[in-house]
Amino acid sequence: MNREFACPRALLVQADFDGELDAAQAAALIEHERECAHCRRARWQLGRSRALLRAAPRYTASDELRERIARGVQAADGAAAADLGASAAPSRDRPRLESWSRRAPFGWVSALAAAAALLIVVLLPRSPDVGSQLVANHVRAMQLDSHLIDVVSSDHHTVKPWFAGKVPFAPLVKRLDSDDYVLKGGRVDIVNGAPAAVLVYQAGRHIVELYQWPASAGTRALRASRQLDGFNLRRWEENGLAIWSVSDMSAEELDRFVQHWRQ
Amino acid sequence: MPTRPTSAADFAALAAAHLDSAYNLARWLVRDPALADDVVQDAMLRALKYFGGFRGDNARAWLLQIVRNVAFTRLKGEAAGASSSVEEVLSELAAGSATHDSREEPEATLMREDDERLVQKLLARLPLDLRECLVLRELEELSYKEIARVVDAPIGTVMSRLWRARKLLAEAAEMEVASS
Repeated sequence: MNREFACPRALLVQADFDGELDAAQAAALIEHERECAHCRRARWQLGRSRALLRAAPRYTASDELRERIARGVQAADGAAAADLGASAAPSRDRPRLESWSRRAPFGWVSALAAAAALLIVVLLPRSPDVGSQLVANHVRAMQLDSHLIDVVSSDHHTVKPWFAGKVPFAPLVKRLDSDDYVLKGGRVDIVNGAPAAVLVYQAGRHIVELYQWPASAGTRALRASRQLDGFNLRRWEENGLAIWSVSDMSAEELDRFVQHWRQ
Repeated sequence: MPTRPTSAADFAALAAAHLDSAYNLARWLVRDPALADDVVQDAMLRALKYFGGFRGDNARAWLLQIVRNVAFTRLKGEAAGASSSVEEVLSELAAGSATHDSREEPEATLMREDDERLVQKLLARLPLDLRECLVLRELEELSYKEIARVVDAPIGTVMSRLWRARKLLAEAAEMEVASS
């Protein structure tokens, strides 16, 4: 199993390759692939195998087989007629042949989503934990300056409505009345494959990010504070939202910020 | 289409429309032209028998499901459901023609392999449960949901089989190229 799924999202890469993802899922995946060499290799291998399979013949039935089956159906017709008459729905209720499209897109999107969700649950121990994801997101946002903030404003009345329609929940947006902490703006990022609202604050020379998404039982068991790769993280819940703050500030400074924010 | 309720005629039209798909699947599963003919014929007659219970959704997947079941019954001796690990198949491949398959056409081993020979050989060595998913997806272009129906497995299983099949194929092809 380990060799097969170097990254748990490899199957989503494949689903995208097979045209089974919707646009939002595909977009989130592109974001991920920028960071994940495993998934980039997975996509390469998918392309390689498909290129190879172009040489595979698609066999066709011989005329002789066609005739054999036509004769067989005719011969069986008499015997089968009784069965058909007894159990078949009236033929007019049956869709006409032309209406059977080659690919019928029924509820497969939701089925796939369920399968993907299951996959994530099953493979969760092997996927990067939330803390690591947040640190990775934070670092990336800091590196790509343009990516840090999508809505630049120190006015929470501007930032909060900006999130409407971009994330499927109402994030808590606070302009902190303090010279030490200045709201810089916000952006949307992806955590655990779902959109999270991110608020960006300037605290002296440091940047503090607040990630928010709807709280779930799964995240409630996680530690409230931790340090990872030199970054400090704090987690709490408020108004049904899971809130994480990430910063390179010291633990004490971050605690002060969180305390101030939560007042 | 006739408007008269002629079930056998409806079925004949449906069978004709999907006969190539049915044959292609059978051929890739049993890898023998004559046996594939038998499988398809048998499957179509069974399908006709069950046609009354067919609900009318996705005739092709319904037919392929029957073809697949008939093919598996014929292949019963071959541990049809078992699948090798990636490592097993790769090492088998590395061992070269040690595991010569009597079903392979004789000239295949003599001729210098072009792309088609190579892909034939690689596909032939894939475990059946992986091969069928790959054929249904890449040659018949079925959706995951349709494949799941044909092979009677959850969509997640189909996804992981497809992944293993493709990974094996890509890696085996790299080995072939490296060793030639």
